[in-house]
Amino acid sequence: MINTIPTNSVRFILLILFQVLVLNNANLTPLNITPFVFILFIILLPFETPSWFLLVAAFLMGFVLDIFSDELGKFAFSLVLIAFARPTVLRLLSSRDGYRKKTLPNLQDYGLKWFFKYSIIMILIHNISFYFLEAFQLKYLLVTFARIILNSTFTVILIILLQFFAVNKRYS
Amino acid sequence: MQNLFNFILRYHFVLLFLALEITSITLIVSTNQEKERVLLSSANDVSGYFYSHFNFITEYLSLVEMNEALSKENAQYRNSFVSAYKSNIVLKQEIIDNEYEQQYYYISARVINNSINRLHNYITLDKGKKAGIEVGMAVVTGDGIVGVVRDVSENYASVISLLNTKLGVSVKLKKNGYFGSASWSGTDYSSLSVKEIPNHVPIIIGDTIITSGYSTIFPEGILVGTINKFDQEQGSNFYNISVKLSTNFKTLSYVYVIGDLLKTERNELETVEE
Repeated sequence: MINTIPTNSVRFILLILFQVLVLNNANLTPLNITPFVFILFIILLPFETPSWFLLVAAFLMGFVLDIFSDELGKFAFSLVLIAFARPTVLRLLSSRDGYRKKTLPNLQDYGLKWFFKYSIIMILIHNISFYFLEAFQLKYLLVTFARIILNSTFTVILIILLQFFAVNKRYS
Repeated sequence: MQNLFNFILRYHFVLLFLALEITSITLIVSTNQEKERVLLSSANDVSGYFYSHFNFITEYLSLVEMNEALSKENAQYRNSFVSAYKSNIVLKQEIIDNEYEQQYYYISARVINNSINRLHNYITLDKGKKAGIEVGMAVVTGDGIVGVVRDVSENYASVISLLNTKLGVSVKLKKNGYFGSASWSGTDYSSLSVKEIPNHVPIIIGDTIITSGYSTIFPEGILVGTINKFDQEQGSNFYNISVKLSTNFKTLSYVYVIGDLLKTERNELETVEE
């Protein structure tokens, strides 16, 4: 538990760099969707993270991403929203005896099925909030829905792939 | 007082959540309003600095296209040089030219950040106030139009891309001058939709669309693209036209910012008229 802070700080920086420098420049899919890999940071914070810290960290990350996207506030709003929802989501998904000590909310400790459910809920909340803030009107309703669904699909695939990568690294 | 502390302590999660969300909404609203620029400008300097140092990663990948475009443009300029023409003048006289006055000047800039995957896309350039760029200037490439400068800091400029649903451009048909307005529909980065061209005007697929020059931003006659699809809505007097953009926004690397020396004069006159 001692190395929680350095690990998460490094993850914070690496995910932002990966998003801004690589993913934002890769327009591979229809409608030019960019997967939002940075959500992984909020997803992977330890269970014991103080609730106020969740919110502050989410806001900070959102603000940095906003600066790089030329319009302030949208990432900050959406990330704070999922940070607020996280304790509730975790409570809803917990098994009868709750979460074990010394574990993290990741694929390695709780399995693919649980992690998929957990991450897709978080990603959907984030994307619905983000894309509706971006459109700001109902004129683009169809495009907005298409973007939400496409983006969530690609993001969840990427996040799970990254998790497998991290798991392999730890055991080898 | 004790009660207040207890209240804050007990509901700190919800209170902090509300405070942060209200801050975010304030930020969203203030960037949407066109006046409050202070925060965004300094943010521009931060992200601009960062992008200009890491831009080589993506720039390296598009070097081939960049070279091709530049050499094509060079050829164009060489063709218009005096040295490319045979002189027929026998006696040369000094002429004081009153008939022509320079109106537009061009500043070249490099694109250091560009997005095409959002509803509101922006471009960052590596030149700003120091190079003479001002808010409201037009941005073009050799191929066609790109956008309008929205914000400048000392060394960087942020440009509203044509691929931004907030931006509308006044355009016209090259062959007969009928004008309409062009805006992006939010999905395809290579096409634009043009509205307000009446349906009695004969048009065919392949017709050229250029800027009209009716707004003070774009000079007249800059290429926008060619018509690739059009139809008439039931009960409407106007065409729905889809235009294939001549600028390739995916490989944008060098652009020109156009300044208008007579802009203030024209604006003053036009506001007096109102």
